Amino acid sequence: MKFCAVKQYFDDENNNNITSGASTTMIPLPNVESHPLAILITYCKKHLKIKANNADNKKETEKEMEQYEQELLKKVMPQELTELILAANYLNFKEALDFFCRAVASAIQNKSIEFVRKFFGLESDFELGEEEKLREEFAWSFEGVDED
Amino acid sequence: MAESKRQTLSPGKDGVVDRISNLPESLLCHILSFLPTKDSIATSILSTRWKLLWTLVPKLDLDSDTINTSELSAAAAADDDDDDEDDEREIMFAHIVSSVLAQQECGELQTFRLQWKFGWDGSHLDAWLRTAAARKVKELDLDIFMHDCDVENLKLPPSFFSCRTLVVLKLSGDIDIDIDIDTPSLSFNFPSLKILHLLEISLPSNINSQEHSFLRLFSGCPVLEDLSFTTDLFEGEYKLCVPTLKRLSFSENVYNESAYELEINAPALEYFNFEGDLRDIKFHEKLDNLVQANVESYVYEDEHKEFYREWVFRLFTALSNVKFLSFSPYGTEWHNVGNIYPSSFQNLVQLDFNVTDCNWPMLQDLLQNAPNLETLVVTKEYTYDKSNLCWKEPQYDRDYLSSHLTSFYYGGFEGLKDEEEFVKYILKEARVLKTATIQVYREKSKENVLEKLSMFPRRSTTCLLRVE
Repeated sequence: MKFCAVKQYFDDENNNNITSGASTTMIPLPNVESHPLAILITYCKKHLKIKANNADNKKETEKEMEQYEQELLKKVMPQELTELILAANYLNFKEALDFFCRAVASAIQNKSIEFVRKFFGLESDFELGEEEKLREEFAWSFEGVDED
Repeated sequence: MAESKRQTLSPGKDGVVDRISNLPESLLCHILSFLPTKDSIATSILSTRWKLLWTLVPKLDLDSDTINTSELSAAAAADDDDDDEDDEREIMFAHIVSSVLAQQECGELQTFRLQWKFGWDGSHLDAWLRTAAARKVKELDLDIFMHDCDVENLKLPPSFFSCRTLVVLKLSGDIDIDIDIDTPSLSFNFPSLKILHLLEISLPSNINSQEHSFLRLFSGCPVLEDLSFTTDLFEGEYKLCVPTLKRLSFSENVYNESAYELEINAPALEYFNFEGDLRDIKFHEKLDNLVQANVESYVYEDEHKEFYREWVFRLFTALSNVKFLSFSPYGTEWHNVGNIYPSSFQNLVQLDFNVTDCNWPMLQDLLQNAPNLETLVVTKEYTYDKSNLCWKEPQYDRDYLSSHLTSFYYGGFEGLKDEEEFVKYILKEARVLKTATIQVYREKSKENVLEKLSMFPRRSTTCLLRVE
C-alpha cells in the first residue's frame, strides 16, 4: 500500500480488534486538504495502473509514468505544490513526495534569486549589509543563471 | 474544511503571498536535495530562514564547468591568456569544493558528485574523498576529464578505497582503474555496492594485469546488482563472474577491428544490454530470469566474417528466455549469417526490431520463432539502397502471428513494395490484432497511405488501422 500512514492506521485497527469487516472505513486525515488528497489518489491509482499494464517491462512503465507526470505538472499551479508536498509527506507516500519536491526544485533551478523570491512569495528579511556579505562570499553560485 | 487550522498566509507588501514557509525544515531540505549544490547554496540569500538550510543537505554535487565568475572572465580578457584563466578557475573550484565540505553541518553524506575538468593538480581528490569516507558516503559519482591529453590518467587515491559504505559508484573519464594487486589496502572492497557504472574508462591496458584487475574488481563487490561499462577500446579476454548481478549493460563506442572475448557468468541476470561490434560473448548458461534484452550490434565484411554466425547463435542461445527483446542488427553481413536462432523464444512477448536493407531475413526468421508474440514494433531508417529490401512470405508459415499478436507498429514507412507486402502479411495473419499503427516517412502523404492500406484484407475483426 502506497499511503503508508493509512496502512499504519489499518494495522493499528487490527491490533485493537476493531471490526475491520466494513469495506468503507472512515479514516480521519485531519492534516490533509481534500483537493491535494484527490490529486494524490489519482497519482497513486495511475501509478499502479501503469505498473500493472506493463508487467515486467520497466522501460515502458518509466516512459508512461514520465508522460503522465509531465501532463500532471501542466495542470498543477505552483501554489498547490506546497499543499501536495505536505499531504504526500503526511501520508508517507514517498514516490509522490519525491516527485513534487523534484518539481519545485526544477522550477527554481538555475533561476535568479529575484525569480525564486517571487516564485515562493518570499521577502528578504536580512539586516543591512548581511545580504551583501553573502552575495560576496558565494558570488560564484549566483552567476550564470537564466534570464528572468 | 480545515480553514481554521491552516496558517493564514497574509500577503506581504505588493500583495506577495508566501507559499513556501509553512513547510518544515526537513521538507525544504528535501527540495534542496534535488538541486545541484550551486543552486542550493544560492538559496542562502532568500531570507534568514534559508541562510543555513543548504548546509543541512547531505549532498555535494558540483560541476567545474558551471563555476565561473565575471571577475575571472574579466581578468582573463584583460590578460588575454587562456592558460591563466584555466589555472585560476581550477584553484577556485578546488577551494569551493573544500569549503563546501567544511561548511556542511550534516554528519552523513549521501551523495558526492563531481564533474571536474582539470589540468595539473589532482591531489585534492584524496582529501575530499577522505572526508567523504569519514562521513559514510553512499553514492560517489566522479566525472573527470583532463585538459591535456598527454598527461597520464588520474589514479584513484588511497582514500577512494576506504569509502567502504558505497552503494552506488559511477566513474567516467580519464580515470585509471588499474589496481595495484600488490597492495591489499588498495583493493576494491565495497561490501554494500549495488550499482557500478564505468563509462568511457580505459580498462586495464596491460594484458597481463587485465584478468587480475577485472576479476578483483568484482570479487570485492559481493552484492553487486547493476553493472554498466562503456569503452573505446576493448581488446583481449575478459571474465565476468558476478552471481548477484541483475542488470548488465556493455557498450563499445568505436568501430574497430580488434578482437575481444567476454565470458559472462551471471545466472541471475534480468536485464542485458549490448551495443557494439559483435565478437565472442560467451554466457556460462542460459539466462533463466532474463526479462529484457537489447542487442544493437554491428557485423561487417571483415576478418571476423566466418565467426559471426557462431557468435550470434551462441548469444541467442543464452537470451532465448527473454520476454522483451530489442534487436538492431546493423552492418552489411547480417543477411549472410543465415538462420541464427537456436530455438524458439517461448517467452517473447514484445519485439522491437530495427530494420535496414540488409537484415529483413533476420526479422522474418525471428517471427517464425516467436510463438507467443503480442507486440511487434518495426522501425526503419530511411533506405538509401532500395534494391536489397526484400520481404518474402515464409514458405512454411508456423502461423504464430495468428494467436497472440495484438499490437503492430511500423515506423519509417516509405511506401516501398516490400514494405506494403510486409504490412499486408501482418494484417492478413494476425487474427487477434487490435491496433496497427503505420508511421509514415515525412515526405509521404498520410491520406494516400491510409487509403491504400485500408484495402488490404484484415483477418482480425477488431483491428484499428492508424496512419501518423
